[in-house]
Amino acid sequence: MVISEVMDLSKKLEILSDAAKYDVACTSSGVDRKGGAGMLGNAVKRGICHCFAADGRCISLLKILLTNECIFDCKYCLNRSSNDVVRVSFTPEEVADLTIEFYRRNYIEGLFLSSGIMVSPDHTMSQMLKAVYLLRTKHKFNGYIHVKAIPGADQSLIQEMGLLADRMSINLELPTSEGLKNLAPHKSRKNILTPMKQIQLGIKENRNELLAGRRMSKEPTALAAGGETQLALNRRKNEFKQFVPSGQSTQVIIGATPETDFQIIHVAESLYQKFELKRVFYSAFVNTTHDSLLPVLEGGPPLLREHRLYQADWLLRFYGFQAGELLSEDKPNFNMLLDPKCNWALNHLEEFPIEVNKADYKKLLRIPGIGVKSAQRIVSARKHARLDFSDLKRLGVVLKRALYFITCNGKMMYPVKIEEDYILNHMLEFKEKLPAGIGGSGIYQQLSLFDDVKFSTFNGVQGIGLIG
Amino acid sequence: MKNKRIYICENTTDGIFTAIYDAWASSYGHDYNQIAVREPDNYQFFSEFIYVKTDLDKAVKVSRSICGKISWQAYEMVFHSTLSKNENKADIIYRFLILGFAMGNKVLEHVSNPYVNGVFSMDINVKNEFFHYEGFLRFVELKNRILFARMRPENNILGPVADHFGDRLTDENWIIYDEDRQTAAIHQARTQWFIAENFEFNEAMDFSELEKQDSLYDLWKCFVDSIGIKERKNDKLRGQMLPNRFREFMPEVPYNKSKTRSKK
Repeated sequence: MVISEVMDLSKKLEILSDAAKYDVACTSSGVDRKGGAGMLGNAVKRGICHCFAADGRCISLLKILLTNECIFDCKYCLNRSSNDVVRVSFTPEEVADLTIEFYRRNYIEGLFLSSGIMVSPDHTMSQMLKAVYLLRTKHKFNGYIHVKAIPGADQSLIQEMGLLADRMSINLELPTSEGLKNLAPHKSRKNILTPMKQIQLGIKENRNELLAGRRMSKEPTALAAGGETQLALNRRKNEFKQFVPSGQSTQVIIGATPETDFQIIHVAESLYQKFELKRVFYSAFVNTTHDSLLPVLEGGPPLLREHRLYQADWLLRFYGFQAGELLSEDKPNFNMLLDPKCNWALNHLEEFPIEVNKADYKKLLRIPGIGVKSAQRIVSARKHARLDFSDLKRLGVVLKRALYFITCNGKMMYPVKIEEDYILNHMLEFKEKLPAGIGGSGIYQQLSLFDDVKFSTFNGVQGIGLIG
Repeated sequence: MKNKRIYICENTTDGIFTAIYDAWASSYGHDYNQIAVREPDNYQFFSEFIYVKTDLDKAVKVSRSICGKISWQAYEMVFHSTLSKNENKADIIYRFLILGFAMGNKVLEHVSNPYVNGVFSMDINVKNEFFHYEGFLRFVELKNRILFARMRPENNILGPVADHFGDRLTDENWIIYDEDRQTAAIHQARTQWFIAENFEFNEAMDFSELEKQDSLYDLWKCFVDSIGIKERKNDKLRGQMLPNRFREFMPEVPYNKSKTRSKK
């Protein structure tokens, strides 16, 4: 193992950002917070993209590891303990200074801090806590902070972190516990789900307390970082603190293990329902370690599959679909040629055609070619006039997809057969508008208002055109 | 036959609102009024120009009426529209308000009306550009820790951008400069920012590669380069998400100078 004692900051940054890049979540959305005199920064609910990397993914946060040292040996991870790479660490002060200086120049929206596991989960977590604590107190940093919770870290550390960070996440890594057992022998499903549950409960409890207008009454438990406990206590006594106000997210690696799409979206669905996650991110597997247990992906990372999963994820969160409607045990994988919504519609032709001037909002959402935004516009516009096809076009409906499934005032746009093969053939003729170079335009964009499922206003909604 | 009256006003929010006030107060008939922010390229028969002198009181009255008779939401949309690059914006707003004052906030539901639609599109266009600049604006640290940023937006969004940074960087001294319009938003720590028009810099100042002179730039460039996943390299997507026109002052990403719009 190469151990490097002295290394300049830029080299460290290069190594520790390079090691952090496989984490997908870069959103800075979900919380609105005003700035003010005496502090630096604010937070904007819709999230802000500050740059785009060469792979077309948004750069919103300074995404780094505190250290790439790691006592774990997860097969897919570049930083696994058995891998021979240069090991470096930031000090908490360096992380804080870098964040502040980047933020002042408007390079970033805040910090995304993850870490390899150095010494022990508790030790690592307390170092991370120290960095975030410095930012929030010494530097009065009021921007966005997303922190990875380290599986196996003490509850009190997670609690303490939750009061400082905007978002926390714990990566599920692999969709099933068998996968986890094979590839990440030091991690267990339990160690991942326990803090997830704790954060969920923390958010709920905190929400109730804030609603009730009570101050945080619980005394904080001892802080392993040492020295800060008293300060933290004072701070907490002085003000209302929100616990992980922007919610928690997680990430699943796609294609490293043999799980089907059905299993994956089922897991996602239950995470949304049982753990109230804000987002589940899907990360196409990139083979960096070439371990014998890992698949060799000839065609590169499975980007199209990742894209289909994101589309399905949208359907679960905003379109009122259930995982069981989209796939089943017999048909466990998405059709690579068709997006999941079209696929569903073709399998349920008995529900169509739908009369656009009458169908309720929920029903409109199920029509291919109609998205959240256009459905809202239809509902609002038809109060005043009966809509015809040219109106629909103006409202943003993608007619070349929708025309097989709708009627306007009882008439279809063209005389078409409502028949699976016929529609399928015609749909495949128009090439689906996949993200440039396939990857997922929109996916990595900030989520705007959809991070908190409020459809009341459609003003300012952006970047949802991807499931048309 | 009645002559058409074309009100020519200043290309500012107050200018447009004043013209709307004057046109309305003239009782000449909306159909015969037209508002423009500059003289049309071609002269028209049977029309006369009226040059509007911007009047803050009149402008405030118009803003107040929009908030009161239509809604705050409509005001915000109209306000954004006044910043738009669209040359017909003044007249579209005028006709939107004629409808709006008649039917109240319901006007916003008439999405298929061309004027309502026009205001909607301008609003979205201005907001989108503003949202982009919130992220893509780059400050350079000058001597005395003053932060300086340049931009070249299509719409006149310096005000909203300055508002954003006024809240975000309250304790900093900063200047944001609109290259095409030669206006600067100047903010002194903990005070209200203001806009300086016809702002000219000392010619001795070297602006070329200014963004690269910042000591933090190398670190930032190193971060941007290493955070991309090689196996997923996708220039097309990057170009879609971060169009060339925003890249002029973002030295960390490749910029194609020949694709820039010609300066007016």
